[in-house]
Amino acid sequence: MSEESEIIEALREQFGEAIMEAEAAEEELRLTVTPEGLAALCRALRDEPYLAFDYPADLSARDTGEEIVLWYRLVSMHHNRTAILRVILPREEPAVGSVTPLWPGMNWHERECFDLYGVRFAGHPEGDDPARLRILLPEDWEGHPFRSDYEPAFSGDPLHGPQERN
Amino acid sequence: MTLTDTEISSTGMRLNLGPQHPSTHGVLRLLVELDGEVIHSCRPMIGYLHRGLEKMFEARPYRQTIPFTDRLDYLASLNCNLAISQAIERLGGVEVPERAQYIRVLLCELNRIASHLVFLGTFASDLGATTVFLYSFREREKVIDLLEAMTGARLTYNYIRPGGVPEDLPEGFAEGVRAFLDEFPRALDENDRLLTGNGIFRARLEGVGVISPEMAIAHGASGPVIRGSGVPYDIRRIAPYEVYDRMEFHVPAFAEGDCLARYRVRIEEMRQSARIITQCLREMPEGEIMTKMPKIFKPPVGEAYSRTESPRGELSVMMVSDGTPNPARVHVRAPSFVHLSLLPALLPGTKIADVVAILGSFDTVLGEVDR
Repeated sequence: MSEESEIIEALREQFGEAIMEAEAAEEELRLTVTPEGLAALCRALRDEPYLAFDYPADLSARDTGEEIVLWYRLVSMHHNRTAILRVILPREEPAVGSVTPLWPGMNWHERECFDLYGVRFAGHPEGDDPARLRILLPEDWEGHPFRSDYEPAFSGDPLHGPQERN
Repeated sequence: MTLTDTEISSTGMRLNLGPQHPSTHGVLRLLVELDGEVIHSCRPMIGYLHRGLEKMFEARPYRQTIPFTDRLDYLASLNCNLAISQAIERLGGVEVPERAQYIRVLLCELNRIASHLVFLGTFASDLGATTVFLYSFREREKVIDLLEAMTGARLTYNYIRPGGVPEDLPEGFAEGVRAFLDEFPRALDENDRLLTGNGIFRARLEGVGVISPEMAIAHGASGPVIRGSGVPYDIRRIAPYEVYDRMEFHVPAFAEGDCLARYRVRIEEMRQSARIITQCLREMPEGEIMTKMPKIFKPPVGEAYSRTESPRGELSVMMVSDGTPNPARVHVRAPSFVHLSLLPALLPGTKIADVVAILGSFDTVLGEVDR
């Protein structure tokens, strides 16, 4: 327990206001980070030996109706410790820096967040062409279907083709 | 998913593997660009099975999400049931009775053996050794029969529930499992003589598709793929759940990082699963199998995630509750999804004939890739 608290102390000292909230749990750090502070923090999380979060475990997004919340999960193989990062983005044009250059394993997770929630990741290796970023949906799909305000372009029976909305 | 000209720029030949191709084990399309028979670049295209399961979860009470998880990794649906049940239990602070935990571990390991036997059969037949398919499916049939006696279904079990398991072991089940385990090592030895030592089989796999440990870690590989690169990363060992901390088993890892190493990890894992099952049967206590939970289950506001070791790797479910009877968000971290994302880095420079071997050695299930 104490070791995680000490890490959070050190991180707060180094990154100051970039860390909005921090909580220590057993073998786990939970941080809420500003979108601007994410890139620098992630670099430290990967490269500092006492952190050494080398394993990109997961990334997902969520739409609360008021904001988009990104949820990163990183694992340190050496210390057997988990870091949960939360990044809160506005619903209008959500964008944040890509962490794929740090962890190549985040590539497809970021593409999925764009596909389903419309989150843009600046510096992503696929560029910013939606047709290349789409991953689960067809590349000419319009809209981001997991968002709470999403309306499908057609109603009716998907087996029998699109029908006009009335 | 049409192909636009901007996608790959070079003068080589473009080839579509899939979406309908027997060696992709589902609807996966690999767009590869070839220079002679050497691969220049590869772009996997997925999503042909996308059903929006994560969104569907949001429209249902917690318990009703379980049957959907059967359709994630349909070769190991008990492991998927377990991952989502654990997330729900953590969200609501539900304790699972000890006997139910043993039953869960027992069933998940049986399911792991069944899943690895499918891998063994299909992988060998991908490489031209079609006989092995019949032998491994003969063994798998016995496991499926046992699971059918237990759950009533042969593939989509829908069995592990939040709070425990719905039924206790049926009469004669333990004897049936013991009888299977008595025979099983002999079947694995038979397979070793037939396949593992086969010169042609080894020539197709040794030194093919080598993943370094650094690459495996940076790409988030898990399960037999990362252990085939010499990293003994197994959730059952590093973050034990259920009663895995009481089980004695070895985490096999092979440092070669090639297709043969991944194959050997899975063969060795089946032996270890058999050990775990034997221990479960021996140590299982009597008692309750289900914790009483309210009919309308409303966990407190918050988030929770589970980490489990499915036959394919780290399967984890992240779940958010907003205090209503339905989850606010469910995200499934599927190991096969991550493994496919390794292909663009791994395939360039290899021969087209090796694609089938490399893809087969990942043992992907497209149901969990596309969700």
